Amino acid sequence: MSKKYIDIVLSIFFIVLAVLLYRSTATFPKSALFTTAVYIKFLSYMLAIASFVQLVISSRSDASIKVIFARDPKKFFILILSLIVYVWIMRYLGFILSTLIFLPVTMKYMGYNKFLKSILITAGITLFVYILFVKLFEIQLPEATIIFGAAL
Amino acid sequence: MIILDALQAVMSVNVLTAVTIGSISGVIIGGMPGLTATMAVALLIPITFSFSPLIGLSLMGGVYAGAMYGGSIAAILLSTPGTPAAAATAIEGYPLTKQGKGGLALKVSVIASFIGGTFSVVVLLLVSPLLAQFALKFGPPEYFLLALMGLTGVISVSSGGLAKGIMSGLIGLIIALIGTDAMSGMLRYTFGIVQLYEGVSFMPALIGMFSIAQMLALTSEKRIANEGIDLSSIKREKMPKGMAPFIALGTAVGTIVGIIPGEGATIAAFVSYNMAKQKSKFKELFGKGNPEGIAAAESGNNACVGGSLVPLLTLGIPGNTVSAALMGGLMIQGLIPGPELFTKYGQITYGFILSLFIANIVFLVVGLFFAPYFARIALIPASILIAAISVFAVIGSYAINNSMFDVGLMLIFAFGGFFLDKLGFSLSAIILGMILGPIAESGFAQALTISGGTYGIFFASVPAKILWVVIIVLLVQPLIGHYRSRKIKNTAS
Repeated sequence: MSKKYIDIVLSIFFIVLAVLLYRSTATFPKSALFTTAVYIKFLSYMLAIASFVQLVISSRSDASIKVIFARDPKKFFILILSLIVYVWIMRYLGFILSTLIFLPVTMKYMGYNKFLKSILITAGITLFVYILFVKLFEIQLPEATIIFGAAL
Repeated sequence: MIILDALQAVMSVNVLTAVTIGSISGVIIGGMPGLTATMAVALLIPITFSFSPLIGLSLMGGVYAGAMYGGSIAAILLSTPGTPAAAATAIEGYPLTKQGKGGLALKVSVIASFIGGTFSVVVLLLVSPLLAQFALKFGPPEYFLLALMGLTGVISVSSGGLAKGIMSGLIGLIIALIGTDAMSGMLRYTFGIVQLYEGVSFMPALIGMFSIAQMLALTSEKRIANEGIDLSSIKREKMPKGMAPFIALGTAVGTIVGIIPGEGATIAAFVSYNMAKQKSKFKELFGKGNPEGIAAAESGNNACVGGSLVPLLTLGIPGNTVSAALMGGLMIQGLIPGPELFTKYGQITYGFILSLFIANIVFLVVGLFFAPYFARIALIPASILIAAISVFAVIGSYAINNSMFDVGLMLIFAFGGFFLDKLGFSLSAIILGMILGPIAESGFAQALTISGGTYGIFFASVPAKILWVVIIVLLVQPLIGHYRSRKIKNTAS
């Protein structure tokens, strides 16, 4: 992806954000008009100026420079997806079950193929986190509400 | 008297255990490329939450000191700097290892790190209380300018250019606007989300941008270090002669650079390394394995530890991301950086500073006797590291407020931070903007209230004028650098 065009789009986005920020101060109550509103206007001026300068710099830059977000896109997107799914299923399955699923699956897709070792590592990390947070520091971790009702 | 009480508190079994565990963990984390001291301290905060303040801070301080040294082990033995600050060490350390002198390089590194780190803690101990007293004279305009100076320091060293650096700092300041307005009590930019009424917590942002974003970057790597050297062949060697001037040079440079906001350990290490190169009688050996370079670079980056804590503890201005994470640790314990830390909470603060001496001793012992063993840690496959750190990041961001909303925020900051980082925006400036935002805003608003809306208040006092000079110097410095490099480029072409 060309860095030049992403930079241009982002600069325009931040200029629009600066305008919206400036306009938002119009609805502020009287008590904030000469304090907070001035500060926010100051930030919006600065953002607009910096974004405009960046827009000029980007417009003059070489379009052939590419941004490589991930050298291994498959692994990259799998990690993003697995993190989202992990956090989502944690709401229903709780910390223990979701971690027991997340760890071996992620390790496998990240390229670790030793099945037995990955199971042992999964059990070790899950147990370590559970003992550390729940038993030692008495911090409550998400519980499995969907299967076991209130708590696991 | 307070110092004696603090010393007594530090000598308790619990604190000593915390420092030892922290320092050793720091060496391990620092030795693993891809894992940073910021990440370690950020992930530790939810755990230290349930500790007494001194134990929690000692643990985090130990990690900071240990990680700064730990980065050099993988740099010397595997040519893979554990931390960016150890990159200069790799230039001289790895050639020495290839010549069969890895033991010598490790010894120079640990002794230089120990001296640099210890001296900077002495400076922290002596300078901080004086600066804290001086800070009592600061009013709202000075605090606004201090926040601006802290941010400018980071912006000025932003790798993506000055404009993107400024934009990054402003993004952080704008995110900090979300929540309840302290002056009028109105809700700003919360979009009806109850969890945002108290603002965006910077801890999930810190964990997301400095843990998960790093893991996303690691997906391209199979192993994070190269395996060229037989680690069992490393022998213990004596400290070479003639290192003292280079250690002294690095220590002085690192301490000063550390105190300046934004100018972190990487800059300290490279400035010290380059100065050592100019000063050396054996210039031709630089790049081929000169221990003088290691001595300067390692004392330089470790001297930053104490230096960077000076503005944090006295003024509440974190100079780099590790001290920003440490600030999170202080605030979670209800400790607000500033003069009160040295009076009302003197025992905790001095105890924390004294614990840093012990952290230095711990990594000295670890480095002298076990360094080659720690290098093996860098050989852990990236696949295991990514999965494990992800779990710690998710649980860590949840545990601070027992909130799944925070976990969601952490992921948003991780993905957004990764994207912005790839485009040259500064994640350090974003996070510092988020931390310094409330300080800047309250300073700005209160100053205008006091002056009745006159902006002259920001230029009235002597400290304010000095702060303006520093801000301008920090902003002009990269522009001059840019101008010079363009001139050289034009001349060459």
